[in-house]
Amino acid sequence: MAAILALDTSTGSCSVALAYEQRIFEEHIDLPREHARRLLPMIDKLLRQTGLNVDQLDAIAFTCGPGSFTGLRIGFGVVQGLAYGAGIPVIPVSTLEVMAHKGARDHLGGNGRVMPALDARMGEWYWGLYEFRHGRASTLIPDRVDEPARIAGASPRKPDLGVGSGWLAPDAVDFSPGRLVADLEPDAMSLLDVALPRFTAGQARPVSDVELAYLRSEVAWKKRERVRRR
Amino acid sequence: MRVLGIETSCDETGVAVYDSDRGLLAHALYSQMAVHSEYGGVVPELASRDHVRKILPLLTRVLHESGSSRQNIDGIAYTAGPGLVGALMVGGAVGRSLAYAWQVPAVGIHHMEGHLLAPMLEDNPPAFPFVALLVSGGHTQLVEVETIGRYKILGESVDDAAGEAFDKAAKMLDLDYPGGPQVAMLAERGDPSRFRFPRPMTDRPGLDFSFSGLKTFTLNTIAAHRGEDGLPDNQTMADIACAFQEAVVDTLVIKCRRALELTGLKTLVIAGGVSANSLLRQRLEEKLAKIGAGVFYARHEFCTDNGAMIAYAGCQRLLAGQRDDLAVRAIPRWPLTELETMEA
Ligand SMILES: Nc1ncnc2c1ncn2[C@@H]1O[C@H](COP(=O)(O)OP(=O)(O)OP(=O)(O)O)[C@@H](O)[C@H]1O
Ligand SMILES: [Mg+2]
Repeated sequence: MAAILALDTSTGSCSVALAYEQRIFEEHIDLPREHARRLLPMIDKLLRQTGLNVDQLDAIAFTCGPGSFTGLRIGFGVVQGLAYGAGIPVIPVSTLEVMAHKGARDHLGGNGRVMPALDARMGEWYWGLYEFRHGRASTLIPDRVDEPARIAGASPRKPDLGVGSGWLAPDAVDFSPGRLVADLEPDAMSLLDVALPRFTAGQARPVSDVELAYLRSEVAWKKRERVRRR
Repeated sequence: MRVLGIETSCDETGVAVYDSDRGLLAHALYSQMAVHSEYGGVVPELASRDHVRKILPLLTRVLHESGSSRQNIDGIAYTAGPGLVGALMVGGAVGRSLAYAWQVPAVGIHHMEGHLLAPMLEDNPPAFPFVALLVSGGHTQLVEVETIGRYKILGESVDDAAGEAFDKAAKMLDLDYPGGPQVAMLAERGDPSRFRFPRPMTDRPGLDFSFSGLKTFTLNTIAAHRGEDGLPDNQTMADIACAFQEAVVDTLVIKCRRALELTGLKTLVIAGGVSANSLLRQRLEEKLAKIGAGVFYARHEFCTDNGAMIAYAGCQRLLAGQRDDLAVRAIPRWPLTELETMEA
């Protein structure tokens, strides 16, 4: 069986999982500012547990956004270094899809519509709409960024479940999902769940072909951001 | 020992390979100037995004041009600070994890140590100990350098950095960014006897600098000679650029000479973007020859940010046995005096 490393640094927590020989190994920390310091040591720990080195991995899966810009870049930077260095392909997966998958799996028995939403600050949400049948996802509304008040208009079909930090302020939207799990976060184990079938389906790609999905258009935040000296 | 160096502290992505036996084997630089120019400054988020896009293509190019692969790279150095934290993070994450994948040591380098050692890449490198004048966009410092990692700050700017002063003067003179080379070019057509700008903080002892007063002086001089279209005529503009450059250069020269006298050292190294300035180089050579001191600097392209200086500094530290752990280091503010010293 393939050896697949998965890592998620898109939000405040940081997690790494490794699938190898029918087993899954996992490491997780909940320290928002520690991703850069802790990510490689966590990966190293899992590899040591299995006796593998980076070259023996078949692919690396990672959450490619949306999420914290810096968090995403730490994760992708490490993925770039490992995958480029060892010449192995990567499997980028939407952060929101991982959250939706986890929500459907843990709270809907793998069937139903899930609306993952991450607080994108500046009064906006990153969100999407996914439908699950027997644990398999189809995308109803691809990931996007909006003011929550506009979501009802953009999404004619209502979710059975809302997951993620956006839903910490559920009144921002004028509809309510059947259920809410606002404290659900993406994690590397759920990422592996999504990534493994993709690997089997031959969907791993060269790392040089991959870009992060920040979602927030560069123009939107440029105006707000302070310009450094000069 | 062959070392790959990665620089992403601000708005240039630099990658290079330095070999302790064969010297610099390859280097490549991607400048984001065009990305930021419409904002009149470096937009940190844009800078980080661009580093992510450019770093692997640059790595591929430099490895190819240097005839290197994982088999003959013995270590990886990356800029760990100071700089824009998000930008540093990109080079750090890629550099640290690439070293891990290749099972070679990694080392995080201080950006200003990189600048300071850049003249070592030239054919006739300076020998320790020496006095270094670091003059860049963010720094103006006089440093006593005993050896790599042993730095004592002799003096520094209490306000604007010299490069920053050049850039601000350029803006006032309606010149493009980066201002240093533009001001220098305009100054060539100027008459040095027309205006005399002050030489700040040269009339008292000490090795600190202040350049913000020059900014005001420049502004006032421009205002006093304003024509119909709001700016002075072309010759006056050139005369102002000339007087400004003379004042900055003269101030730097006075303090460098003072630093050499104070320390009793006979070698001055100038580094950072402003060390590319021809008048500064020429004046220092003239004035220091009189006290029997020599001045050393890097070729133009290694005065500003580049990967070669990081590869070089990394190689020296790795040769001395320094090894980082697996953490990606990104230190936005990092005094030069807080570096790891190395065993002699
Ligand atoms: N010929 C020149 N004359 C004067 N100034 C120059 C010249 N060439 C470049 N500069 C100045 O050098 C600066 C850029 O140098 P450098 O790239 O070393 O700085 P930086 O990396 O932005 O800052 P730091 O290294 O302090 O973080 C700019 O301010 C630029 O105007
Ligand atoms: Mg610099």
